Amino acid sequence: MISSKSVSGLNGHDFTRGVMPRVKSGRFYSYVLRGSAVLFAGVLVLFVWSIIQQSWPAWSHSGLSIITGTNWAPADSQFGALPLILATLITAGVALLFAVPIGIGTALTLNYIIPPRIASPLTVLVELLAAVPSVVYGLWGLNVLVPWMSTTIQPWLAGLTSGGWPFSGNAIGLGLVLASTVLSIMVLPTIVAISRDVIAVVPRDLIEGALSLGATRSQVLLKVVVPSAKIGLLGAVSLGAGRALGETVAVAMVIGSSPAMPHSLFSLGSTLASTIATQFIDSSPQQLAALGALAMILMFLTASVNAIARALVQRGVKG
Amino acid sequence: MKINIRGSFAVVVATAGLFASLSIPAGATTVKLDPILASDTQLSTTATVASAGATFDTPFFSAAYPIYASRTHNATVGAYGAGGSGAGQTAIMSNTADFAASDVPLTQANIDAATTISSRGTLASYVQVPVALGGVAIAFHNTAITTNKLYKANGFIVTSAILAKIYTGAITKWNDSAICAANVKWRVKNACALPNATITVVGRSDSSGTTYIFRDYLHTAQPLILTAAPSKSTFVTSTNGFVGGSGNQGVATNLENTNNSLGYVEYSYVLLNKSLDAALVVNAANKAVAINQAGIAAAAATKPSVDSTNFSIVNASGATSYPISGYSWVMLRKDSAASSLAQAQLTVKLVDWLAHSAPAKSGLTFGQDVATQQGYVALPTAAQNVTRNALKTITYNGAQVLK
Repeated sequence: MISSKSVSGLNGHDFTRGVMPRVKSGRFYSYVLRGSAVLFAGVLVLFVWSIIQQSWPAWSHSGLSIITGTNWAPADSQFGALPLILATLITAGVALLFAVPIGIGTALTLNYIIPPRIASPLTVLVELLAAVPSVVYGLWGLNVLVPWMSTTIQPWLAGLTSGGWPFSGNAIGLGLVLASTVLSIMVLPTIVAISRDVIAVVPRDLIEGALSLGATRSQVLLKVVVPSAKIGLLGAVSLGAGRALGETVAVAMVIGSSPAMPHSLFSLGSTLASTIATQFIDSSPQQLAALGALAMILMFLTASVNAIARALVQRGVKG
Repeated sequence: MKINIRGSFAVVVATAGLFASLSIPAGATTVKLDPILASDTQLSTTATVASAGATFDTPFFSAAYPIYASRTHNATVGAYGAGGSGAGQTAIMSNTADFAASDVPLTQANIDAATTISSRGTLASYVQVPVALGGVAIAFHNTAITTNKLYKANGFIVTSAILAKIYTGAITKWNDSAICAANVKWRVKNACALPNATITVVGRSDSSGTTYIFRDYLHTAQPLILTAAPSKSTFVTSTNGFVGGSGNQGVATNLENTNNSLGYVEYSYVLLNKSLDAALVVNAANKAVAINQAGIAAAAATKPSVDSTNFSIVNASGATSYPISGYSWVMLRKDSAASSLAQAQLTVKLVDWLAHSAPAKSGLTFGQDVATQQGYVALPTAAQNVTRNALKTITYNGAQVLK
């Protein structure tokens, strides 16, 4: 952070005055800022337009059956992406189911429960998780988790429901449950880092007030800290969701790359992003258009998550 | 990581080739090279060559290019752009590459489909030559089979009918009666000793030339079971529950990690992944053969006059032929679009060098020698001559380039 002191510079001389006429520089900066805002918006518009244009042959060929169809066989001009959409939503949903409570819990622990001299190295460790490239998670999932999943975890899960839904079917390690596991580990650092920051700025008065009224530590955390930070926490979750929906390489490596309709968590699958990544090489122009349609659906999904989060924030502000 | 092994191997090969190419080593017999291969170490002015295409050729070209660049004065050989056969076809049609590689030759239909490329021409605008030869292995991971003492003596045998039925979903168990019938040595006390487990079928998730060769084999040998004409499209569909892998390495890794799985990969990936076992495949002469360089070469030898419209060597006759084999192709402009004569010469001579083996005992390393070191199979002499003769038809400003 730049403090007002550092702007004043050497010997108390204020560099923001006198060097350049103030009015002119103000105008210059306003042009630069407006220009970059317009440029950024323009890039986004062009980007969306080019994806629409690229995917147009697929939409005009199949129409809305791209979203409702269940058979994805691009070589035979079958562009039913419903299995891909479902796999994307299921893996991201299951990943968040675990990552959100663990992530927010970790953030609360780091801020309030354990002493700072233990918390700060732990924070570094969690943030290092965010720095691991996704392909490394994929390799780790493939080489370490797959054998462990198929011999230990999946038989145990199947035992829980005696082989019934949602843990039914052939357990080979690869599949939705493994992809969800890898994703939840990948989105964890995002959720922890942002939650920690928003929890840290909860006013001390509130906490001390609650404590003085005789609230226990868990009551303070769950009834005071979390509710007052809920808008920021929602932001953390929606960023995590964005990452989970769009993660490509790691998912492509562990999900089994099969465009099958998911019927249980042991099913193989293929998400929107992983399908684009694994099939674009050597695609015919028509297949490329279909992959463009997948990109459009994925953008729509992530934008919807963002919009829902915004709506919740708005309600939070009003209520 | 298996890729690292290959990478360091390529460096060793490249270094060895560098020394081999600078001079004919002492002790090697002096061999008379043919005039074209003898003269191509000199280029009158500097020139650069660019190439792109199938990932199948990447290990071969990446190891061979530095050797060629170091032996040829004034030549710069740009790194191979491995974006897939489709990307290579686009590159040659739009003149962004001097030559492109593809697992399946370019067809008039491919050219017609590229409506956005104004310089696409017609099929007659291109010269297509075989440049590499390889085989597709039926790789499997089944510890119950490979740890059984019957395996060492008898191997595990599949036929085209078994494979076609597995990939159309008609066979799902390792001890299916058809598989037991093909593996008579696995009968113990009148019962089939193969495991009663479900086969996890692995295919490619991407469109691939390897798939083309495999489909070509199944369709040629079993047209009634796999009715679809050969194509590069995946076997992994929405309904069959097959596992997809991206690229040969993706398939190999899925096989390694999944017991009771079966899939198909390029031969070199079986060599690299020591934990993968390759099944014996029954060929057209009704002999169960293992995949190896001799078997693939024998299959190629059954069709000496290979060309870009008649190129399939699957299900070849002959007792030793490995039945799932195929060529990889390089395509060039018949009327060179190079910016200089030197560039046109470099392009054509590089492809010519890639497609030739050095004479025995010369101590030299030519393209096909590098290919052999990288797990491919050297082109038969007949195919090397096919390439040479086709390259001679390429012209620059109306004049023959290779002479």
